[in-house]
Amino acid sequence: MIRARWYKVLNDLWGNKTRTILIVLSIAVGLFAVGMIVSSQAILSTELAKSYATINPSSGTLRTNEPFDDDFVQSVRRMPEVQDAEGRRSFGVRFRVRSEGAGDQAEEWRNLQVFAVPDYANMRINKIRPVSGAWPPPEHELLIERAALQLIRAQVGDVVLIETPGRQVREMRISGLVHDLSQLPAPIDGTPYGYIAFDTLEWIGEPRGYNELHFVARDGADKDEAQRVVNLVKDKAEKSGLTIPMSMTAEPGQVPLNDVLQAILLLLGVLGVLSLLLSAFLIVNTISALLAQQVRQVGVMKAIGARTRQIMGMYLVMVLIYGVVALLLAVPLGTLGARALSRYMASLFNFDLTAFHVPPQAIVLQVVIGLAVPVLASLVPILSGLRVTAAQAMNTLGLNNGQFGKGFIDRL
Amino acid sequence: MFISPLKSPAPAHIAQDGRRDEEGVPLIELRQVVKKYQGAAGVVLALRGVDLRVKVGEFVAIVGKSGSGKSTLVNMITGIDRPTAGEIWVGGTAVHTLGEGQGAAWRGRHVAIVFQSFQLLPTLSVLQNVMLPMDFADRYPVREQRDRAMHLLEQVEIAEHAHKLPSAVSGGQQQRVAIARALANDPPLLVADEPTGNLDSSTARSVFRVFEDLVDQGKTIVMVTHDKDLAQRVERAVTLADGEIVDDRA
Ligand SMILES: Nc1ncnc2c1ncn2[C@@H]1O[C@H](COP(=O)(O)OP(=O)(O)O)[C@@H](O)[C@H]1O
Ligand SMILES: [Mg+2]
Repeated sequence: MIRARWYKVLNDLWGNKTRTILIVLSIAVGLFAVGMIVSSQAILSTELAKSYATINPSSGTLRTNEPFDDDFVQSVRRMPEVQDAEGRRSFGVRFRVRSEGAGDQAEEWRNLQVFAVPDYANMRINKIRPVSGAWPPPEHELLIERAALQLIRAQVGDVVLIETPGRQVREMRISGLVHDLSQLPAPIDGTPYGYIAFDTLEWIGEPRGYNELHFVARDGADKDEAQRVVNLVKDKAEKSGLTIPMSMTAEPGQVPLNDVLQAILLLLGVLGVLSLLLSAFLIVNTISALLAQQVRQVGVMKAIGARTRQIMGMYLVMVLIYGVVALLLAVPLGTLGARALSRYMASLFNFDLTAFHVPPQAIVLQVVIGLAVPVLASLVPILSGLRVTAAQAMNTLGLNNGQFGKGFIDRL
Repeated sequence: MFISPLKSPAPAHIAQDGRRDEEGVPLIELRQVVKKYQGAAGVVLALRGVDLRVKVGEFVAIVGKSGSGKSTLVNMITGIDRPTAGEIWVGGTAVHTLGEGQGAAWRGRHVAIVFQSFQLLPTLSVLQNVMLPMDFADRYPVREQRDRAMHLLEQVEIAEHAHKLPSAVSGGQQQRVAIARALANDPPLLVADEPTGNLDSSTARSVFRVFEDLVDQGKTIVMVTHDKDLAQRVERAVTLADGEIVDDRA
């Protein structure tokens, strides 16, 4: 058996569908945004950390002008502060896509950063993972970082012309794709990345020696410690006669673009909060208008025995219903939105989502906001709307013959 | 009709007062009631020290020119407005001392109000309108409220419209619904401010007959009216002029 007062609430909601839909949608939009962003943030943070952990990221990297060999890598690895070290060679070349029948002017030369890893099968730091095609890089062939493919404007199987630092031109086939999470995503960096076998170096005119030292500090979880180890390794390298034009210390456990990712999510979070504020504002307005319109009804209810708290309960239940309906819309949509947003952000930052779990706290947050925002936003209009006494409401509405103009409206 | 008359005896303080009427127990007693309004044009003295006693089972008409203070007077009795000075006792309750919430709760059980313009809630059906005061007062169990409301609608001969919205029935029918609503919690006193003012004369007469039936069943009724004919038919007519009782004719 439903109490009569709830019929009034339901009939009022149902009777003014436009108003109901407007309020519900405005709450739902804010909740959707909050849910989508909170979920995405949680998903992206855990997934990014998970992906990043699998590559065993370096805590520091040195570049050298002179080539160095495995003996030096070994000596660094033996340092007590260092857990592991690996040497690689990287260098810039120019490339262009070989186009059939077109003249030399057909395409201009563009830059490509090439990496040569001594043993692709046993990488231990900043691991590169095969995605498709050949693996490891066949001799005289080129693998491309998957996110860089769009920059190359070529397909796997195409042949590109490489101009070596020594101005020799070589033809290289793109024979596969790899995933290298230790690099900034190529579209953000602007330079595509290629990977070749160590044995291809001489053919391309490069010395068979390392110029990049990647290492992991024993206590890499601490940023200061990582920095200290980088300095130690740097000293050691310089003592060995190497010149270091550049060294990098990684933020422990964080991908190079983590700050950017967090900033984007923060921005989205701000937009979500703004849309919530907007819906709160809309609620304040609509509930004020509703109560202004129902002054007489409030007065009549008081006259027939309703206590203010009973009437307040009616209007609060009404706004709670707005919140519940908005939640029914926003929670599933927020989940879908989080899935789409996480996927998009993951592809933008060049990592894969292994799982998609909407964190329960995101849903709890949505429910709390979905119920609290409508109630809090309508509290002031409800309290002030219900201040009208039965007598005031009667007077305003001319119940006392010809008493218009003497009611409380004129006294406002 | 099953609606019972006043169940409780008159309050002790009135009996001890030594002012007990020979013919009956006073249900309403106004003592030197003054009401001032702060209007736009200055202070209006709507009631200038009114004394009035109404006995249980009486049918009293309040008559007088527009602006003479009739509505103000009945608003004092129902407690929807408070006096500037004086005392209002209804069935042993000091109405002038009640706060807003207490007033509403008291009204819900003890006073039925019928308005000139019916004042049914537009989004509730006729039946739900009658159930509403029962819901607020919590005097009858929720599961009985519907049946009781239906019963009241039968008494005012409007049961067949129970599921319509108020806007779908005529003015006379709406006023019958309003009377049924007023009786929802079986209050001993019914106060009506020009209940027939918006009705044509034949409809007004039929609504008036409903009031007469109620008096026969023991209700006490205070009714403001402009209608000379109707005023003739009640036992007692109190005439107000300029906030003072100038005639009290039985
Ligand atoms: N809320 C109010 N504010 C100011 N003056 C009022 C108010 N209500 C009534 N009055 C004044 O009090 C007097 C009595 O009004 P009222 O009781 O409504 O008379 P009646 O019902 O007999 O027409 C009138 O002069 C009226 O203008
Ligand atoms: Mg009046």
